[in-house]
Amino acid sequence: MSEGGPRIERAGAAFRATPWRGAAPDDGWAAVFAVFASERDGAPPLFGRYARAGEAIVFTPRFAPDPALRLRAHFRPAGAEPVTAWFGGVPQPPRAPTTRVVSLTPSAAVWPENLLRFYLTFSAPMRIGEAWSHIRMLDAAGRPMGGMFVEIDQELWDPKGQRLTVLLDPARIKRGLVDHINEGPPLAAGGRCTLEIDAYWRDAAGGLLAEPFAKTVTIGPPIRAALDPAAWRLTPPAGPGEPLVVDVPRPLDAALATRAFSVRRDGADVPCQVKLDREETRLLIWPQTPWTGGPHTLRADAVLEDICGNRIGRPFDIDRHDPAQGDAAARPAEIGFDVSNLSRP
Amino acid sequence: MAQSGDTTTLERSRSQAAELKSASALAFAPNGVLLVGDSLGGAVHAFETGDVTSSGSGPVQVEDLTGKIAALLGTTPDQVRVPDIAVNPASGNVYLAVARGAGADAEALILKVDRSGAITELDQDATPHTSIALVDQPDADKVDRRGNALRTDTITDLGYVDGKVVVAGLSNEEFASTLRAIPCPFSSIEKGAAIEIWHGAHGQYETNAPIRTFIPYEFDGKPEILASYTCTPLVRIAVEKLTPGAKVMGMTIAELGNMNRPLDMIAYRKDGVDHILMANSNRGVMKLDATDLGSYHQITDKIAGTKGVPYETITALEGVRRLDRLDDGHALAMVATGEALNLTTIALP
Repeated sequence: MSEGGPRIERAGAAFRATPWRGAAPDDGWAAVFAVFASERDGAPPLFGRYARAGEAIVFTPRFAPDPALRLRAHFRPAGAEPVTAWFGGVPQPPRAPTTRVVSLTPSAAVWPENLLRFYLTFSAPMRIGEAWSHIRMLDAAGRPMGGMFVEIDQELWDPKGQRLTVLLDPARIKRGLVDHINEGPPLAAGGRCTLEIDAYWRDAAGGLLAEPFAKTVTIGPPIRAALDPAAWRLTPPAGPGEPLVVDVPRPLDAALATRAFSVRRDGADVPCQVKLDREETRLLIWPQTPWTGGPHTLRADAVLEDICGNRIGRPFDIDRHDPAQGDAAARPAEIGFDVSNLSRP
Repeated sequence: MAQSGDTTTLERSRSQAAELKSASALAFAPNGVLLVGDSLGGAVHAFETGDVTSSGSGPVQVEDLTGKIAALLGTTPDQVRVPDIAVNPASGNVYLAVARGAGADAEALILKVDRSGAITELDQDATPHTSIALVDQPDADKVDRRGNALRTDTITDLGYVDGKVVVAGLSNEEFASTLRAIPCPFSSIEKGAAIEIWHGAHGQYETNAPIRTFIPYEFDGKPEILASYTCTPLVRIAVEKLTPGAKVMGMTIAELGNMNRPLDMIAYRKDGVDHILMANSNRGVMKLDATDLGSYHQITDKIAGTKGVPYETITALEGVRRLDRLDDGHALAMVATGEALNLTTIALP
């Protein structure tokens, strides 16, 4: 360190103020040396830790400050005039918007009036905490239909922040509740409405969406029956590397369908990958290694739901007055299929 | 009535740093033990803060909370989220769950606000703590096996009730309750298995019912939780029923009007009368008269309005997002005013 007047330098992640020759100040180092990232009223200095290095006070911020922030470092050396130095403040060039909505499921053009949830998937991680100001459902006349979603602060994202689960208000879906009676279901059968995502929703990196998103759907009658595996049609694989095809009469929940199905042979798991087709009414179950001939079992876990929350053996809202529903409990299902004739060219 | 709370000391675990992937919900156990619900990490952490000395009795007031936190963390206010607040009853200091960053990869930290409004960080590594992983739903293990890790359980609330940490969760996939009651202190053996919480709508329809917020509450000396579902305002659930694998039906004791969901609640006693203060999504702050709360029976009729526990709306309180009890006469509120978020002390009405 060269001799001279008091000064503040930035050295890598740290800030150094020199000289300080005395003991540590009674009220802490921050009383004589602090770095500020904000000029707002009453803004405190950066969190960080202090150390002595010879005649230098070394301050290392707890977090690397955002490069765009202008930092003001203030040093009050003993017996000399205070020193202020400015650092950073490198404006970030505006980012061209590139993030967009890449999928919305259910992907069908008709949604049942008791639809329980939909999934919005983005091409990049999104900013969390502002979803509800960017998602709107509009009626056929283009008017916003409020009070429809479960607007929880935490927002239901996947771990990467790319897929948002939007729950429609169960209080308006469950029969017998005040909101169902007074307001009716969020979506009314026979109507048309448009889900609209505006482009002002920022991604996690701060960019706007490349374009707004809209999807118009027609609202169909409610689906209130349990899932019935007896109605599923299995088409065994046409070749060793071909998929098992499962056709179901109504759309399955896209997230659950991709993880609730498994295949077993001789009691052992056959690793497979599940893809959805035909608006989530067809499963293509691809083996990770070619099928081997013989009897197999397709298993659907009890967690499987259709898009209205109905499970195998248990509808979303169980009607206790309906003897057929009784003590309906969700259950898994197993369906056998044969893999044969795979040696044919 | 009384809020539950006996004494406990958590076993110390200094061997490893808490890996807080997110801080979603906060609550205090006795003796300054801070409970942190970590949705992304699928865990609850209990920090023995050692913060057990009264910090004074003045009001807590922090204007422009996210602006001040941003200044401390070297970022801009739009990169700061405060998912929850909790007052440490052992000291009167306020703890904040904070995310630094805009996306799911935001850094999670815990900040402490003292009565003067000074903000410091809880040193997660240096604070003795125990952690417990929340057991996944029975079928959820397939997610990882297939490399398809899209499922999360968001911890919507947690609390210390009668020697247990009760954790309420909401999945981003299946619609099911994931309430757990974990004996505290945590042991490595006793994992928090899921309890199915059900909602019976007026004697006819039954559905799963995720819990959004709850408080401990005693009825006739027995610990219960007073909860709101994602679909209905106020239910009672006896803690003794919260055993792993159980199917538990909550008891609806109030309907508080259309299109309204409670965000947070506190219980208090004023002038000899028990009350519940409830911050709501659409209907402002409500003060419920909790006199003889145990006398309200399950609402079984189909009704089109309000019923059960009587309430009044406190019109002076607007934009309240979170509440906790600060002391016998005051509540601490996190209030959204335009773009700004403030911490403010309010006299209990």
